[in-house]
Amino acid sequence: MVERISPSACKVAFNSGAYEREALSAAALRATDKFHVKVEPCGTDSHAVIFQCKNECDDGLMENAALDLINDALDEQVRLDLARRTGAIRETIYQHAFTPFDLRDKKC
Amino acid sequence: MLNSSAGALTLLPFHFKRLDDSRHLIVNLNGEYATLSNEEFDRLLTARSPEELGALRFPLLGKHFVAEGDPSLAIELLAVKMRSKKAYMKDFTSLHMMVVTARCNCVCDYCQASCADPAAQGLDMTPEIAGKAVDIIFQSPSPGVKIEFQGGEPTLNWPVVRLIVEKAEAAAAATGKDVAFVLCSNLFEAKEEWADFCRKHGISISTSLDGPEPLHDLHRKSRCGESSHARLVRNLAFYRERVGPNSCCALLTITRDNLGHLREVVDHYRDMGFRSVFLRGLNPYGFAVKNHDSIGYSVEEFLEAYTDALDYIVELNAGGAYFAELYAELLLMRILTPFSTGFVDLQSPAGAGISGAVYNYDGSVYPADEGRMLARVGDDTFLMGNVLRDTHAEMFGGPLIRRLVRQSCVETLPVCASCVYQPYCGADPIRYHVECGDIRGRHPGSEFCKKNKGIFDHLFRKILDDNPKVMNVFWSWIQREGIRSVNREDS
Repeated sequence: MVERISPSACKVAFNSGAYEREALSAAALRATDKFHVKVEPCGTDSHAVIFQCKNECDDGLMENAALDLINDALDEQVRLDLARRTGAIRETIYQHAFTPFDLRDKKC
Repeated sequence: MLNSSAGALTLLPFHFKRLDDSRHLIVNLNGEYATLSNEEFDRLLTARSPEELGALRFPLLGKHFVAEGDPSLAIELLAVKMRSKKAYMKDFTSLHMMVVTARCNCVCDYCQASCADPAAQGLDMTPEIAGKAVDIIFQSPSPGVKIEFQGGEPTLNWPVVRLIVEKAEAAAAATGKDVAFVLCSNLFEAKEEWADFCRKHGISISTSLDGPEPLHDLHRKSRCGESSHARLVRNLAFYRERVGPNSCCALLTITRDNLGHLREVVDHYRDMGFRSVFLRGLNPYGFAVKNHDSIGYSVEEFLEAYTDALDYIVELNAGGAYFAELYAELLLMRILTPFSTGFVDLQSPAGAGISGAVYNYDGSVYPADEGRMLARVGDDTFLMGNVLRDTHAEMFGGPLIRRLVRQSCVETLPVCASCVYQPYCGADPIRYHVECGDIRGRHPGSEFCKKNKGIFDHLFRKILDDNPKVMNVFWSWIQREGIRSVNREDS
């Protein structure tokens, strides 16, 4: 769902059932070196990422950016899901790594 | 969650990226890595039992991407490995750089120190400040300290260099700490007195070499007009003879002019008897900023030249020579081994202040030389304090260092937190401050990030190709031995 809204701006819509806003924001952040980016609700069941070239850009650049964003959004959603599944274990690893030994003995 | 039933599959934390259209690279919290096809990656994410992993089961178990049954042992092992990886932090500040003078007998176009004329007044560290700085240094909890003499040209204030060495050795004996010294000199001048002192006190010498004479002299200009390269060659031989054949090392600064000639620079380093080079790009401070239009280059240009030079160096090693690229060596140690590798400019949290500190000639203390350079242009953001009025605890335990530590952990920074290279990487908060005004950085546009990602991409391409000739060279650098000592089958 890629829509060209001006010669230098594009809008990509994502179904909110499949992509959380946090994932879209993380994906959109990656494009901020070359583009001005905005994430906003789009209807009742979608979010849109709107990005506009900072400098001169051509059709190829815009198209590639949109396709990269779609893949990046998928990756970021996977990362969010992974963080939910493994986040508690991650925190436990860090706690065990950096807690002083005597305190760990008392906790056990 | 920690009490999974026997045989259940637990996914352990890891990062990933797409390597290409058909593969993913996965890396766990401690830097153990694996490559998976797209189908295998999907299987890893969706498997709910060990059997569903199929042939992936034991390789992923062995590298702690998954656990079976009770994951407590896996968690404990990962925690131990993490503690090992971060072991460099426990000693706190061990590197102390003392800017004994801002005067210099050369004027380099990219100088971070922004050096002053040798006749200038009021730009030398006084004996009082030097003494106070040594007192502060030996309050560091580190069991060993390294003192680096910097400038300007530190030999222009030789009496204070002597005083610091003698006082530091006395302090080391009193505290039971180890102490080592490095003299960072342009070697434009050399004296028997200096050489004899360096030999007596085990002082290593670090100099700068930008390539063959035309390239070196182009941006490293002496004030008197003589070739700084010719003096370097003569004085290097002098120090090697009087202090020791391995007493000297050299650092390279890459400008636009030697960027396209790095193979020649490497050859010149070998001709000059060096066994390594650090292919170091320009930093955005001091004269390097002012002269960027004439000597600067883009990150993309740097990466192209760096990877070409690295490949050339690998070829030289494969042919029997031993010559290391030191930045690649550091990153390879992090990728291929479980060992702790502190490197002030690339660690998490950043090494600024907690691994190294800079003592300016006026007694001001900064977490890194870059902080001192910003102060010279009116930005005091990174001033920790002054040895004449502040205690060690006030400076090294103060709000600035605490803020730098809290906000330079790549495990928590935006973009870094989910980067596949995070376990191997680090932060440079002072550079981020210069780049975007925020010590946490803004990574999609960060040149520091682009450079390091580019080098990691190149190294991983080499590692995953698994060419025995290349891997033997990489392991020879890690083990600091010639390639013939590295025992690995060639295909």
